[in-house]
Amino acid sequence: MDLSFALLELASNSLDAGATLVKIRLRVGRRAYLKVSDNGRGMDGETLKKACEEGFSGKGSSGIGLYQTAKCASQSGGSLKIRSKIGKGTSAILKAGQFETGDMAASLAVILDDESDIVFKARIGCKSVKLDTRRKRDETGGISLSDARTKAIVKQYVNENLK
Amino acid sequence: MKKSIADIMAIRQSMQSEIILRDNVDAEKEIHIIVGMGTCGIEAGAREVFNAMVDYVEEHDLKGIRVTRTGCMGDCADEPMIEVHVPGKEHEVYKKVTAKKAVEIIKKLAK
Repeated sequence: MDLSFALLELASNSLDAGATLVKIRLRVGRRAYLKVSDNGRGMDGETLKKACEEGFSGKGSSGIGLYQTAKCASQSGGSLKIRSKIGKGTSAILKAGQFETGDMAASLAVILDDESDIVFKARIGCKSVKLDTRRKRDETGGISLSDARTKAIVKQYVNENLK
Repeated sequence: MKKSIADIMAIRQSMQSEIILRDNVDAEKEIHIIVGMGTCGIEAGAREVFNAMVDYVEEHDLKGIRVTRTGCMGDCADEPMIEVHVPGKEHEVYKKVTAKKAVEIIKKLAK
C-alpha cells in the first residue's frame, strides 16, 4: 500500500469533518505507523462501527475511502484502527507491513488550507521532518496556506529533509 | 543537512522570489481553483492534477493563485474535476482533467 495516499484519505476525512487542526505522525522503518488525529466533529458509536464498511459514508460520499484503506492495511499485514468521540474529534492509526512511502509532499500540498492547521511529524529511516503551520503563521504574520506558491515551498521543504 | 522552512524561503529570496504573505496579493484579484479530492477524485488522479498546477505556478512564479481541495464533487465518473473561480467572471467546471490539461488551464488563466 502507498502511505501517502492513505494519509490523503485520512486527512481528507478530517478536513471534511470540519477539523481546524489535523495532527499527522508518521514513522517508517521495516514497518510503518501513521496516525492522523483531528479536532473535527467526531462520530458516534454506530457511525464508527460502520465507518470502514464498503459503501457506508457519514458525509454522503461513495463510502469507498476508509473501506479501501482498511483493506489495504490489512492485506499488507497491518491494520487501521479508528477512535472517535462526538464533538471531540477522531484519530486513526494505520499500521502497515508491506508498503511504499509514496509522495508525502504531494499529499501535504493538497491538505494545506487556510481553514485548518496541520502538524506533520515524520521519521522515515534516519531522516525526519516536522511542519507546524500554527507556528509558521505566527512567525510570518499569517502565511496563506492555500496559495500555490506556499504549497510549493512546503513540498520543497519536505522533500529536502526526507530525501 | 536539515533545512527549515526559513532556509527554503531564504533560498527563494536570494533568487529574488518574494516571501508569500496573506496580504501581498489583492484578495479581490485572486484566482481560486478547487480540486475534487474525494476517493473517486484521488483514484482518478486528482492529486497529480493538483500538484501539476502547484508546480507550474512555482516554476513560473505566478502570483495570486489559490489551489484548494474539496470532497467529492458529485460526479464520480467525470473525476478529476476542477472548479475555476476568476473574480468578476462566472465560475467554470472542468471534467476529466489530466495533469497536462490542468497546466493548459493555468497557462490560459495566467495570460
